[in-house]
Amino acid sequence: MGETILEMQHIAKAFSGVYALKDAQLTLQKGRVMALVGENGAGKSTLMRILTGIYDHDGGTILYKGQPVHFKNAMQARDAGIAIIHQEFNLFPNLTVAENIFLGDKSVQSHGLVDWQAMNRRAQELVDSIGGTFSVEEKVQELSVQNQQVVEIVKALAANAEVLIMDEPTSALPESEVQHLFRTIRGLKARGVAIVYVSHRLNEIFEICDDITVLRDGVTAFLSEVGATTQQEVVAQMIGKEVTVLYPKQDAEIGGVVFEARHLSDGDTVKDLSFCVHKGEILGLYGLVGSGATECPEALFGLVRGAHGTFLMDGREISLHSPAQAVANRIAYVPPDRHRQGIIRQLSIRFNLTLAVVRRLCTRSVIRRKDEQATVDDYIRKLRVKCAGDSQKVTFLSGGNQQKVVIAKWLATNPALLILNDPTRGVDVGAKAEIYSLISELACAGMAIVITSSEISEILGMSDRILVLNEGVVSREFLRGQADQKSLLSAALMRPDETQGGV
Amino acid sequence: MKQHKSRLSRIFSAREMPIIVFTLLVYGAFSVMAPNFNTFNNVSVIAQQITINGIVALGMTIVIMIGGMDLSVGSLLSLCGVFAGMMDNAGLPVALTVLLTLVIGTALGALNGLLIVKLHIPDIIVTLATMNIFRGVAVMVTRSQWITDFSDAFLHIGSSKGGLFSIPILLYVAVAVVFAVCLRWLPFGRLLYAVGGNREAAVLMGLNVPSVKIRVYAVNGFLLGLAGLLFASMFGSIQAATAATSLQFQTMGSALIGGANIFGGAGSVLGTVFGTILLGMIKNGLVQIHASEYWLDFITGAVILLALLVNLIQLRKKGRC
Repeated sequence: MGETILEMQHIAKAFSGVYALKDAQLTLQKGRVMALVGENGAGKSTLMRILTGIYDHDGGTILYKGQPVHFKNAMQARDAGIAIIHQEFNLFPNLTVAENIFLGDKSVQSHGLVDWQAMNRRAQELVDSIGGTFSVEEKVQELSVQNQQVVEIVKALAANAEVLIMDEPTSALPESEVQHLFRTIRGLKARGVAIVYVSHRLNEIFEICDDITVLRDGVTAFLSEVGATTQQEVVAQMIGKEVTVLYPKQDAEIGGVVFEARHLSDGDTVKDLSFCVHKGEILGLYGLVGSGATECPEALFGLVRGAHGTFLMDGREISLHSPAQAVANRIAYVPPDRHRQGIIRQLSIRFNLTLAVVRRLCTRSVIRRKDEQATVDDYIRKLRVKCAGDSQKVTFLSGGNQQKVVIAKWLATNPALLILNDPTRGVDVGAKAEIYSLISELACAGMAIVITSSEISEILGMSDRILVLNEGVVSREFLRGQADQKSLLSAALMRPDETQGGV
Repeated sequence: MKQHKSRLSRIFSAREMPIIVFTLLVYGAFSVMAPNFNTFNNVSVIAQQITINGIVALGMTIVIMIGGMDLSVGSLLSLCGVFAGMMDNAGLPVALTVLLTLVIGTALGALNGLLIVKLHIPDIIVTLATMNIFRGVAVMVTRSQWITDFSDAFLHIGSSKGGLFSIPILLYVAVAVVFAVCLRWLPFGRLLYAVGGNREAAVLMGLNVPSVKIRVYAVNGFLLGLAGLLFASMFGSIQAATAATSLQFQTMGSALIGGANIFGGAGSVLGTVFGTILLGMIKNGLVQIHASEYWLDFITGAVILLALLVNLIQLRKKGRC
């Protein structure tokens, strides 16, 4: 074991009363790579944000080089030698590589002026030293993604980082570049840098990491040397005890195929998806961040430029290049970010509810108030929206009721296929149950429904059939009752070609 | 890929290259069409004519570069010019008039920045308000009268004596050189590109972005003070309500033609200078070939559009991601 450089003990953090972290531990050693894994929402990013000073922690201590520290902001952490490489790079695309590495650094200035020669020379040395093969005089926007990542690593080196956090470092890399990154990581280890490797990809973790920490519901649940554990055990530790929640899912009569997608790709995350949805069926899509599970619905609804595939609605081929086309083909989409994508907050319930059908309610471009009122009354009653009246502004509704308004807006279009992208995000427990029974009722009434969720139990509880996505393709398919949390998560963690062997 | 580009190829792939080439082409075209265009005398006249716009366009360039926008430049110039004229009329020594005008310009420019930063109001809205306020104050204090009858010392600042080496032209060249050096070699200059290129990364780097913004608007205000002085002095009179009323659009045009990115992060002194020269030349050339002056706006707009298209094509070609 190397020398301990950092210890986070009993870290707790709550956001408006909800615990993101309860008792998290993390110990890092010089020259070793620590894997940090956990399900969506287990608290990995919160923990890393606390370590890098972006968030303040409510409880616990951080010991860095034996001293208790309390970083107030990202700069303090960075100056102390703790650097992070986010999934989204923090680079200046319009500046050169050398400038990105040394911007604001006094050591490359002479007499208050930027010494370009010295800066370029030192930057090139650093880039060369970790095997980079590009000129530091190039602008960052002209580099490939993998080379931009190298710039981020060099930036950390130039700032004398002793702890380097890499958040999903391989998610943006092509397969062929992963080994290159690993060589770089081994080089960093040899320099004594302690690395936190945050990832969903167990294969990579078992290849490059020395130790592993599993976070579960804000608690460090498991800690081991990688060599002393197995992928199966890690998966089991991520899930912990199975919690059974009762979902109000009724058995609906499942009919013929309503919608079929063949070879759907969004040119990015979603690689090649083919599936069909039946009348009365709830199809669950599950996958970890970056798997394509949340991106697939967006592509279906025509929100992604460059998405392509073949789509059939009731056996007839349709094209889905824009939301307008999707709506015209009777597809409805409830987006994950209610505030940004779902509602228009400062407007009334009535306005929001009839937004998608307002043209149908018009005679010669004038809204027929009576029909509008009837529609609004109808859906407020059917969906049990709790409000002071239909002229109430949506912003004053609870999260659950806002979501009901969004769903009602789409039901008013009388869709054949309803896509719900994480429909209960940020909704309290009571309202969740109501939304679940609503979804179930809709399926019973014969609607075809596609649902995604970041919560594994929601997918298990609501779906008639589950597709597990990984790397943009379907890695496994389960029928209702066939899957449990462990099998679902295992399928989501394994690369598609390995799942046949099982965990 | 690690080959260093040769100096020559780097010059030809520079962002400013299309605008320089285009400017030379337009110069050539006017020279052929108008016999008096390509004369030493006319070139000095053009140079003299573009100094005010040129100085203001450089300020506009750094404002645009950090992702900002200043609609109030014409009004602030008018206010500074009017104050300068009134101080001169009151018998202040010219050195003091110059100093005070520059201080007023800097302070009011900084005020723009302060309002934007402290109230978290978008630049375009704050400067829309101050555009009216500055102009309104200038009109009020002068009761909309022409300010004129300046002292000889004051008139000397803007005189065209010396041809290409007149004081206004020398001032413009000096400002441009200082700007070019600062943007390339001064750490603060490089920060401007950073703030405009990726604001979030700049914040995470520990840069005090609000302070950068205030300082940029202050520098911009300083230049407007200078331009206000030149305006009053060059024309020998100034009226608050009519001075430099569409300056914000002309200077924005120069900056954008010169390769500044309206979303921030890009802009160059060389490009903006050529943008200013191009617009000034077109204005002068159209008069020389006896074209109707009604064409001026149309052609200016078309040139701006053309320049933006060229920029876009350049970016598309380079941008891999």
